[in-house]
Amino acid sequence: MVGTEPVFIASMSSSETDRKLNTLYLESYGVRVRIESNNKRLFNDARRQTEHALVGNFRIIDPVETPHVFRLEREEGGYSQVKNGEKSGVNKSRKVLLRYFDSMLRITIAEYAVGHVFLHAGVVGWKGRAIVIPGDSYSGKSTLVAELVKAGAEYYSDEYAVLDERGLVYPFARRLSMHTEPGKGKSIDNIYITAEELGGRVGSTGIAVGWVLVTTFENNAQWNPKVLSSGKGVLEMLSQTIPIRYAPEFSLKVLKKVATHAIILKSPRFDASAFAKFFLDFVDNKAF
Amino acid sequence: MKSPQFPCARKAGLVIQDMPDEVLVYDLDTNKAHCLNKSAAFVWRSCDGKTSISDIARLFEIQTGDKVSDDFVWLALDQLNENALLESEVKASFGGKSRREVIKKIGLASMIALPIVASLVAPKSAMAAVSCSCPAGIGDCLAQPGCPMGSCPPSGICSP
Repeated sequence: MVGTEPVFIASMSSSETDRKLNTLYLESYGVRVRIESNNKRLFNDARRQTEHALVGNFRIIDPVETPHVFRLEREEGGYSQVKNGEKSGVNKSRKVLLRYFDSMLRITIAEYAVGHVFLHAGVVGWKGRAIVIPGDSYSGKSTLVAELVKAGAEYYSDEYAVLDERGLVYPFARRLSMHTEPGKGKSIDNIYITAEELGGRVGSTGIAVGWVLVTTFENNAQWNPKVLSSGKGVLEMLSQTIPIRYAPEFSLKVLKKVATHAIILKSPRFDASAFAKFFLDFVDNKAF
Repeated sequence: MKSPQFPCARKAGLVIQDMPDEVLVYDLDTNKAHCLNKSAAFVWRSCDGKTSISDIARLFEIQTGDKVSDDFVWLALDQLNENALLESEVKASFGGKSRREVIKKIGLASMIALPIVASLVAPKSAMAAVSCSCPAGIGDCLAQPGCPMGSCPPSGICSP
């Protein structure tokens, strides 16, 4: 267990003093985290980044022992991140390090969340039920979610389906992260868009999952959905279930709830903008 | 050591979740998940170390009304064995035939679903998965132990 050191100690070196001054304790989905820095500016940036990473889903708590400690350090020639005593990243750019901190913090919460299962998936609400689209990064989830929102669906998330023990899914509505095409000699980049900028709105309540859509974009794809059994559906979702190794029993229980009530469809899809409208019509009109 | 003629289902180190027509099994030792269809689940549930292969086949017939051979049970046991879901290893005996031939033969002779075990390895710890990833694909990979430096590839994963 880390994070056992007392918060206030009688005698401290200047760097220790800085760290104590720049310390934040928070709880998100039942996970307690300490964030600290030896640099005030970096600490303030980390606080802002925390808001972004967790979409405001956290509360500041009193100093307490925490199983997860992030230490962001200003050091000669750059910045570093130490997670639970181990240096997990260094970079000369503050921006890069903060983005990395953002990912690591979010994933820590997703993996150890209490009473919730985080599924790597895009989610929209449609007529009171959720459409969950599990998928890897760069599988086109955000693009499809954005098109579904443009077509009238409520935005829940482009990254996580946050499921409670009853199998209801809740918003984790960060700005949609759209990957740009890597240009010649340039790496891939991201732009961030809100649901409102797409002409849509964000869902506000927990809703049951109506459909799980297992799909990837393929050129000239034909929509030919196979309805998966609930067991096969759980296997498909399991491959995107963040806490599966940490909490397999609870994760399977929640996935079972989803799979026994939702229709699970698997098929390649065509271009997202045409497919989004097509799919919403499909779920409206198809009698299962 | 139990006789392979009286196979015994493994229970320790497994999380078992009954689904409407299937059984999901998560192996805590290997972090593999298995989906047993109705036929495979029936055979697995019947493996109590006291019931013979032939008796399992007969129990299946009583349960479903469909006549099945010992090969049908062996086909399930072969997959259960392959996925470490039995207490002791069994070697499937298909009377000199290959598994493919047996599947074809049973498939033609029967209307019931062949026993199938579908498996998947659970994703790595989420933290391990991102330790070599580009943060939101924004340029260069971070310098981390075991992770190469350089620009962020479209995969978002810095490791080779």
